[in-house]
Amino acid sequence: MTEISIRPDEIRAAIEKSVASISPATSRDEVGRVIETGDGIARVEGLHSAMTNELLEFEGGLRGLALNLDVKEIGVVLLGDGAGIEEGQTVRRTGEILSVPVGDGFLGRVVDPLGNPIDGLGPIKAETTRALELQAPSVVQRQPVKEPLLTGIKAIDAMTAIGRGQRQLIIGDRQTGKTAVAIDTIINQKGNWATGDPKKQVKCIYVAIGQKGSTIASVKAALEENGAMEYTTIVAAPASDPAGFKYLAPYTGSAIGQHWMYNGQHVLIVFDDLSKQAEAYRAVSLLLRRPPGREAYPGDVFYLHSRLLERCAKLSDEMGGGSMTGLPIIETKANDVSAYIPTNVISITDGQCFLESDLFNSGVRPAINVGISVSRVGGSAQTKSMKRVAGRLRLDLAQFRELEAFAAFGSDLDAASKAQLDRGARLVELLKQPQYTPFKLEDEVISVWAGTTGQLDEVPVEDIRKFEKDFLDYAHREAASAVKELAETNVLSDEIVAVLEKTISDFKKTFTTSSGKLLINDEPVEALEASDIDPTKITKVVR
Amino acid sequence: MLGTSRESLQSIVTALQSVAIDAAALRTSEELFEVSRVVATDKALRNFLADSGQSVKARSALMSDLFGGKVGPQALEVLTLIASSRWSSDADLVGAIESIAARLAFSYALSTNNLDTVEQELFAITRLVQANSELQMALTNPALEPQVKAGVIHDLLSGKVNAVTLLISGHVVSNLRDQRADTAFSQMSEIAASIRNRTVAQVKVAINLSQDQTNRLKAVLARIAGTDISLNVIIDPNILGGVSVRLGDEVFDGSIQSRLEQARRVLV
Repeated sequence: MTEISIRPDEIRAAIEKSVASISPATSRDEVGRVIETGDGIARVEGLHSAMTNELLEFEGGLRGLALNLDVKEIGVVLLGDGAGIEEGQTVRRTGEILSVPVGDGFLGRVVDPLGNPIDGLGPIKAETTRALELQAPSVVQRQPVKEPLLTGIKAIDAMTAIGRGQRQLIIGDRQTGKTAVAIDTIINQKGNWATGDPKKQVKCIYVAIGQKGSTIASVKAALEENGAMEYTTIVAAPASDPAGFKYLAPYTGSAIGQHWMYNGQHVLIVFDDLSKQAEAYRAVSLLLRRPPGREAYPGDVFYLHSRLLERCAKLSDEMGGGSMTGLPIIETKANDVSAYIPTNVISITDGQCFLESDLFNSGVRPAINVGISVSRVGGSAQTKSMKRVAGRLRLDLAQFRELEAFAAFGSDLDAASKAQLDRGARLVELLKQPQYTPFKLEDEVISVWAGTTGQLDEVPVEDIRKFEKDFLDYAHREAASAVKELAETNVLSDEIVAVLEKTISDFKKTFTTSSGKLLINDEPVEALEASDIDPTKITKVVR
Repeated sequence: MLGTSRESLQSIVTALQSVAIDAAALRTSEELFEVSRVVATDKALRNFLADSGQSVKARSALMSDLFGGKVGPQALEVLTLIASSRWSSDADLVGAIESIAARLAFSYALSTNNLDTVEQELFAITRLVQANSELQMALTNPALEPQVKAGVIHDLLSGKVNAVTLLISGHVVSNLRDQRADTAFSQMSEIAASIRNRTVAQVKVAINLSQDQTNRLKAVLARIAGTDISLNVIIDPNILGGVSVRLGDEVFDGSIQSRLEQARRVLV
């Protein structure tokens, strides 16, 4: 074993070297005085030239954010533990507007809302810093959303497609799989990342606001396990952080993403979740004695979210064509989307995926209610192949739901309705998808094509998922060239359809259902007449 | 005091520069202190006097009706002047009466060559209050009657300080208007300095400054502030060395303590 010995004077020299780099100059600062503190808020007297959103420094180095500039005092949110702050202590201006370091060094890291690393992997080398409160791109700096951002979730990619630069709300009760949808989307960008093409690559940011530390750790573990952490940054403001941190975290994530977006790259940012940010902002506002409004939220809670989500954009080609796609998450109570914050964010975003606890509990996972989920960008962010097969899907499912409600009252149904119901049940089954298994686009197209063209009508409902999985394997093997062409051109041509039709009918012949029977039995054979038989006589000869 | 109130106060101070400073001025000052206390305790009166919606005539008339005959002609003149000016809040009006009263008292001290003593005494009282939390609490306690607080100050200071200091201290503590006692005293120090167009600089050093050092420091600070400087020196061994100066809202910190603190933040 090698013994490392360091002499005390070496240590002293090392410390001296780092102290020598400090040039303590006499400082000239404007100072104010703390007149009151508590609950993560301080009121400061003086500092007449302080700017709004300026960082102020308290004794001991703690920083605070000047939010309320009143005639005689300033309301400050403390960014850290305010236990050491006392009445009468001095407060200095720093002259800095709140900003965070940004750059590629943040990929694969976990940071707090001030951009400091909290994953124990050492300091992050930042390219530059970016102010938190910057205005969103203007109208002329944008272009319509048209490139798809694939989530790898069939139900979303087929019916509520998300485009690069879109804001798609994920809304639902607690424990309905909202985070899972977001994480799957991040994991699904792995293929794009592997191409190494900056026009395809999507850098991801996961902003965790007011979540349990254990949840954040498990999200990080899931991303690492699926190889998605190398292109992801986590901005963590766990439940134990002061309200000021939770209020700032989404803006920090957004600043990190905007830096990439303005460099012409593509970014996906997940805000998990904005209801907690609104609650943190409510706490800060009430403590700063701003007047409460509906549900005790302050008057500018709409602006809180609208200015954040406006920063997600698809930039024009002159600006480099970068994009930032936003997936804000909102938690509802008892599926009530008409509460204050949900309605606000629904009106800001370009569509929403509504997750329902009833669906979740009945085994439909992801529990997306396709009826009230919409995407206002929709078709223009879909590939031709998906557009061709998915149009029918929404219609079939809508008719199925209508009939399902109607059929609950009686059992006498005509054949057409019954067929419609059967088809619907199979489609619902087809859209189920376990966590962490994002589908490739061509697989999604083939699955949805099979469902909507009635290819699955003869497969028992309980076997649909097994059939789908085995068929995709079979198609990749037996119709490899057609699948490859579909993947490359993203067009579902008639030739490919013909190949797929043949492949699926061949496959059906080999498929065994869970009841142990072949899906397609051989044609029934009648018994032979006695006369048809010409028995050969076998005689035993004893030699 | 900001905006309109500051302008109004400034114009009154200018108007009063011609007033002869003699023993009568000291009496006027005392009367004005008394009036400021009365106005501060009566909200309706305060609101009416500071309400710019009321005509100037009505406000001055109310002032002379109320206090005419109870205060001297000089005090009444000041009060009508104040009533006819504009104030951005009723608290500013009370502050203005108190400020004029203090100015008269300090001007009297200046005419009798006592202003330096008074300034030093006021600073010493501020330090005393800051150092003694029990005294600070007693003086700031809103539940204690103003007379009691004035009594405390009288018992403590009587015979030890100049008459002007005693007069001002007594009135300051009996009309604190939600301020801390030490803040109110240091405001008085600032008014005293402004009489000679000076700015108060609070200097913290570890050991006492020599005369030469004091002069050099004054010269440098005067250049920064643009006015003459009144130095209030605090000996504080805790800063270890160097000097830390507070000039109005600004702090120039060249103490060893703050340099060590900077080094600590780099290392930790």
